[in-house]
Amino acid sequence: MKQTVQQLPDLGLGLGLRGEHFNHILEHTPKVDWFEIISENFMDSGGRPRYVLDQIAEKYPIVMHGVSMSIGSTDDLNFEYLKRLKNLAKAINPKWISDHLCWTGVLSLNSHDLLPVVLNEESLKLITTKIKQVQDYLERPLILENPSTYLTFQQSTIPEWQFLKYMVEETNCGLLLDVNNVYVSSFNNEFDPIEYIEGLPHKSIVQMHLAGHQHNGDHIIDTHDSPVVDPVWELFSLAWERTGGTSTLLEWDGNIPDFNVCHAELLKAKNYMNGFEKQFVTPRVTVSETEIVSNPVDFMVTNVAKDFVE
Amino acid sequence: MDIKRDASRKATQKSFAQIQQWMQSQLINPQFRNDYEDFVKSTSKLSAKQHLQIYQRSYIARLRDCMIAQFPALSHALGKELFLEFADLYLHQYPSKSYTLGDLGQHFGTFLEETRPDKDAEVKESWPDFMIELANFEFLVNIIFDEKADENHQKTTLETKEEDLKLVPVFHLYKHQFPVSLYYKEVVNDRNPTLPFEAESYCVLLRRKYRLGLFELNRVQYYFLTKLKETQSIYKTKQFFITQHNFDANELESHWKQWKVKWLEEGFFTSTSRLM
Ligand SMILES: [Fe+2]
Repeated sequence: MKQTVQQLPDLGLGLGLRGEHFNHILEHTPKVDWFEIISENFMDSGGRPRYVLDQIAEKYPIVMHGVSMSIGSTDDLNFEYLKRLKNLAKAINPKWISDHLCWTGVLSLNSHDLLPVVLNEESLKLITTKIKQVQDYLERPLILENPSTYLTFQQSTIPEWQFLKYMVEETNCGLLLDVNNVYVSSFNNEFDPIEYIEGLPHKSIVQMHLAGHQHNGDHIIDTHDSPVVDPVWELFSLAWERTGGTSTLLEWDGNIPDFNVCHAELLKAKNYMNGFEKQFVTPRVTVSETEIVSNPVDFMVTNVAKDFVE
Repeated sequence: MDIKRDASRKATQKSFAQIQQWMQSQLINPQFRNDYEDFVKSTSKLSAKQHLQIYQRSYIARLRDCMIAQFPALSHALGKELFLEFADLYLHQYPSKSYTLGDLGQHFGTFLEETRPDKDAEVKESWPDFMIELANFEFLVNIIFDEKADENHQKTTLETKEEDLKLVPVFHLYKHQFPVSLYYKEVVNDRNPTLPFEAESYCVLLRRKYRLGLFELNRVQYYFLTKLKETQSIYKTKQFFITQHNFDANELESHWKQWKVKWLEEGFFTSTSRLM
């Protein structure tokens, strides 16, 4: 590999690039440190999404974040997908490429969801082999994110933080720590989020994600459609202290507000960089009545009808 | 024998592949089972089954949302409830095999054709034809939105020489049995159209500066533009209609003059040479 995880730069505070904000960004060139794109929204585009991205990539550092690698599937890697991913990377020169520790389907089918992986020695062996294949093919380290999960398999024998640590040790991949996902998964699967963050290999954390979620009383759904809640800021402040600070990005995918609202939410992160112990916040929880789908569809599909002229 | 311990040993013996196949079948083809506990841990708040149900609900909800986003006009035409019934059956019959959600609806037109209620009847009803045409058209709109093309166009005006006028690279002509494009436009502009009667229609779907445009055409315009797309020469196209279809040269010229003004404004053309 040409580059190691430790050589990747600290990009500062970034935002997920969303179609709703294209015009604002092109017109105003707002002072955001960097943007993260959903790779699949651009890798097959010869139209407006790609045209806009090319312009934005000239002005801002870009990171490619994917949802379809399915590194945790027992199926083989899809090299047609990887080829397109690599081609996009060649064209826009991202600072790094990330995906999730998850699987999207088996037997050549795709559920288009980020499904939870069974965490045991068998899966660790297969996943680390696949990570090495991807890194060899892309000629760069792969950065993997902890997904939000809603169940734990009976056959899981390794806690997720430890699984991620083994992955890093075996492959030198990097980690994208989504502190909201840690909170969501810890609530749904009843583990201690602080122990989780404390146990991670902090030097390999290349990036963090922040996002909002929806609390449904007996479970939490990762909806990315609202501001970050206080307990998640609390975890962010812990992770910030342990990592010594790292590239941080806010994801907002449902009910997307104006660019400036997203940006202001991102900048709140600055209030949580002063040390975990000093900044304890009492968790406050709001419970929603209706359930929303995780990772809303606009996250992955361009609404063509919205973009029509005449 | 300790049955409980035996059951838990059986559970831990499931292979990585078996676990994934089990979970996937629970998403794509959910059926009542009694083996949730063999795969999924229950927590103090939720049973194993309830944990799995979170994934089952979001699987179908996400794909339904995507189908509505790809087929807004068809979903309006059928009504959301009926549309989702079709969508659910379709997703069951044609589960996604692509890494991109962009391909999700690619077989929907075929599926509607295969499942039309009058499939085996001798005399066919016409409404399924409309639904199928609309589905096929809507999916094409999605494809053309992202079609690869260089759109660094030269601006064209009435002063641009006719031999320099070329159709823009993303330029697709369609002939329909129903007023499909008109209906589509009404829906995406929130004008709440009622179901149309059968009537042949013609349109062009084009893209300039990476924005889509959809324009109605009459029959002659459709054939004129089809020939123009083929020859990329206005002169040759006119000649073709004059010599092969006995068009009166003067009459054609006076039509063309009107079409040209309108089509220039609508961005049909690019130019091969710089403006004077
Ligand atoms: Fe995330």
